[in-house]
Amino acid sequence: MATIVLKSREFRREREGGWRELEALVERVERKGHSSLTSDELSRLPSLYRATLSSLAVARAISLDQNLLLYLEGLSTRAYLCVYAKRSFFWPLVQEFFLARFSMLVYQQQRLLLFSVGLLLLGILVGYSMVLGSPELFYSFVSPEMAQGRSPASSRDELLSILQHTESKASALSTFASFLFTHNAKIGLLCFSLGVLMGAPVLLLLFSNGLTLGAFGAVYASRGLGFSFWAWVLPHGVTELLAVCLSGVAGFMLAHAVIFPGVYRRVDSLMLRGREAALIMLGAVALFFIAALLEGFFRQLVTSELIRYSVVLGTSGFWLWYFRRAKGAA
Amino acid sequence: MRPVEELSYTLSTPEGVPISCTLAPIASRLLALILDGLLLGLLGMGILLLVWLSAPTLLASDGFLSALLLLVVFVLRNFYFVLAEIYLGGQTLGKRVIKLRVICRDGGPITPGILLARNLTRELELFFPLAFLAQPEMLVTNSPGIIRLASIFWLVALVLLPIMNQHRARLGDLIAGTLVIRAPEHKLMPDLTEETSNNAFTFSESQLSIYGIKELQALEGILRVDEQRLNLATLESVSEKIQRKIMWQGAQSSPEVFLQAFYTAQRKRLEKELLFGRRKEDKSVITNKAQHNDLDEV
Repeated sequence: MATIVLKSREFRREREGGWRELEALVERVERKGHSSLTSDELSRLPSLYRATLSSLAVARAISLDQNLLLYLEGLSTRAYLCVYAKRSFFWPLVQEFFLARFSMLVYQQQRLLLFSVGLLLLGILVGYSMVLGSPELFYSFVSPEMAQGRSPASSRDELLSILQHTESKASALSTFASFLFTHNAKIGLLCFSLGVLMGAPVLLLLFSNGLTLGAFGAVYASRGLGFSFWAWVLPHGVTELLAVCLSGVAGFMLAHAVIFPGVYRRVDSLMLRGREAALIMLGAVALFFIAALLEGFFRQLVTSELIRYSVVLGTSGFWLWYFRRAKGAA
Repeated sequence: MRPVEELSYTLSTPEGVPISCTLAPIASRLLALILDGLLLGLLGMGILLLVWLSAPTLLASDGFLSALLLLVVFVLRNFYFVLAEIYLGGQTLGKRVIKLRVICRDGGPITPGILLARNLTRELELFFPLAFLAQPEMLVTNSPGIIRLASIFWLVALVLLPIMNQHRARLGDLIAGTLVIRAPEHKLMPDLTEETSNNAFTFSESQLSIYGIKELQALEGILRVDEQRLNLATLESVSEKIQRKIMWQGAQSSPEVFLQAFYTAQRKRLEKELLFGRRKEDKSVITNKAQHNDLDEV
């Protein structure tokens, strides 16, 4: 016996060319992306990947060469990532999301959305009727920094001045809009993340948001300013409250996944719903942005109640159309 | 002293062959995060500088500056991570430097939606606790003690989540079903058995039935140490130990040549056993020759 014949060595000799070729391709993709490959190389990538995976399976069965096994394991992982973790471009994704995906997802969750909206309306109703009955409750629903001096003790003129307040300097308005957006979106994101805690924080957030709004409404209504108050709130409020409710929907989806995992393990159920919930949350952030623009600019520039109410109708009509559009597709 | 144990995760690929990967250690993930944080700071300042250079008059009204600052900070801190991961295929720049990758727990493709899901919780997981550290009174104003305690408990639990589960997943990872692994980088070295050209050593069956796979691969490790750093003393002691153990009576030569030959013969023997479905993990597994023969006859 002149030389020792090892099956694993012969196996390696036969297949090594393919591995090296794949390694070179993978290295280029890792450094410069898929676009650096020619179309020919690009079509070879998946088949080389599969061949290497099968080499790995064979090597596990016949080879005890640790270095070879680790190499194949690593190469397979890298190639797997090249094949399954493609880089994507931003704009096509954004387009697809807002034109189709977002409205579809929301439409599918319409029951949760109705629940969230109902919860918010209930909060408004409770806040409104309680403060109307006993005005001192206002202070327990609304924090001082939120009230900005408005309270049941304020005079009619003080209350009215806020509703009619206009700001002509564009710079101050953009700061205001920007602040509103970041503040609201941050709360929305927290609402989404807190959904994991069985949804209790989400319930609380939606309801207390309603309470605050209802309390303000009652204070204004008691001075006969109800009509003007809603004209002041709703032009941006429709969009903003919808965004709050959508954050609520996203949070509830996570809560639902944790509490009722169905046939899945809890982590898997969280994963399945979490991916959809995150997309809804992204849409909600966009809605917060639109609402902040309306609140920061439109509300401060336009005081005519007729125009304010037509914007209310316009935005509600638009969102209704936008989300029901998916009905045909679903 | 033992090396830190590495957690591995077996990924089931859509092709049906499982691949095992090494989960990224917490420390390297933290390091990548710090790098990303530094980069974010630089990026934010760079954008401001650019606006200032291109339109200094706009910034004259300080209202615009603060509006821009607010917006830039928000977009950067909430969307930098997801955009970088979408664009670079599961890596932020920090992860790229530290060589980490995001993968899906179920082995499926990593879509932008999944990357979004794992990064939308950063507000709660990262920035909220940071803000809390900077201003502890923010969270705890005018709420009853029990609520305060519960909030702090949740916050701590959230931050410590990655070290409390077997996959080192943070909340975003759980929601998106992702894991962070260390990008593998193993070089393929020449097969050690190639170097055994002639068969000057012959080992008997009984001499080769002592050691198992674990010892074989430990020997491989010793033989693969870089040429320059090749430790003659180690080779010598290992070779002596083996010779004593297998009661080697044959020719004496340099330890390296002997070990090479022994490795080749041992590997051939163990691989042959493997083909028969007998995996001898280490030397404590005693192969019962007679029993095998019985089974073979049946």
